[in-house]
Amino acid sequence: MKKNDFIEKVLPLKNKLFRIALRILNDFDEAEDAIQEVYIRLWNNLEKLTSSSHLEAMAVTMTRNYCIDLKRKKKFTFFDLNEQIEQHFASTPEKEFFNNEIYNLLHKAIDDLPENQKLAIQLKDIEGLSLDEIANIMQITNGNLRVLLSRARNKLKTLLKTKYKVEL
Amino acid sequence: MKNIKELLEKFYQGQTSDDEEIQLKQFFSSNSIPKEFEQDKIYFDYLSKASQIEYLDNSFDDIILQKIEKYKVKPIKKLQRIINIAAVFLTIIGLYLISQNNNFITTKKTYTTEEIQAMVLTINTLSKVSKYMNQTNKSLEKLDKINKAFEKLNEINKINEYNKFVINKLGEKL
Repeated sequence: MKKNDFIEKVLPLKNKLFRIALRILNDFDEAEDAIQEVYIRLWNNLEKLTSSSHLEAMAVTMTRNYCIDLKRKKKFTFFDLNEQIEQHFASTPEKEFFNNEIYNLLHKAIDDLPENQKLAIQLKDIEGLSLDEIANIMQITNGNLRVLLSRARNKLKTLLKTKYKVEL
Repeated sequence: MKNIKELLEKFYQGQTSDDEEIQLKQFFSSNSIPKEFEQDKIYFDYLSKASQIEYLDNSFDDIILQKIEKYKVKPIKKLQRIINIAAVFLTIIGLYLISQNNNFITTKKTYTTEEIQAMVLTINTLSKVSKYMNQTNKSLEKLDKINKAFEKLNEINKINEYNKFVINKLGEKL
């Protein structure tokens, strides 16, 4: 794969990979550093990328593995997501998204899910990867993935039901 | 609507296929949704918006491109690969040639009767030398034991001499 292909096919994945990294690490700066490192690894594995028909899945796998490894090795200080949004965005659609009370609530509720459920929701419901790809990335069976998704979706549904009723 | 209800039920049970989930996302992307699905619409709207958040802009691309310049794939790697392939290829050819020419491995030198007799004689002589060497070693071990015994006797003699000296001294004083 030539440099041009890397620019056209791999670089556009940056925001998807960043969202996954942010979901795992919960820290903007750490997530950005992690994605830079992942991109260098992707570049160094150009030949594998060329032969793989699942380029996106491969990049997501690398991101997931690197971030989980990083989280195990390093103790992260908890940063409030809203504070981080304030620091990183001036006035953008992203800031509007997080300013929406219900979206913000849902975002935090997903962050509070157990690690596997959180990642399953991020990869399936938000990033739209296929069930087989996610099972492969998370190294679990298709059946286990469905259980994780069901548990997470029901928690979010219950939360939304309670919140939505209060607002009405 | 009935179909959507069923799909939603499957969705919350984690039983929807990839295509069915796309169908649900498409349904909820519409602005006119029956009231019974309003709660679900909030979730699907969140998913749609969350998937479009762009945290990184083009400046990130520049950073990455600058970094990868340092890590350009080195031509030496290609050369190494060619050498590896050539080595494997040569090994295979070598093994093939050896297997084709069995004489290469199985050919043995033949010896004359005189040579064999000489060899047997040499082996016998060497084994005798070895036997004598072993016997000599045993004798040396015995000598070593005798030496140690003499050393102990010397020590006893020294003690005796000291005793005599002490007795003499005591005799003088008395």
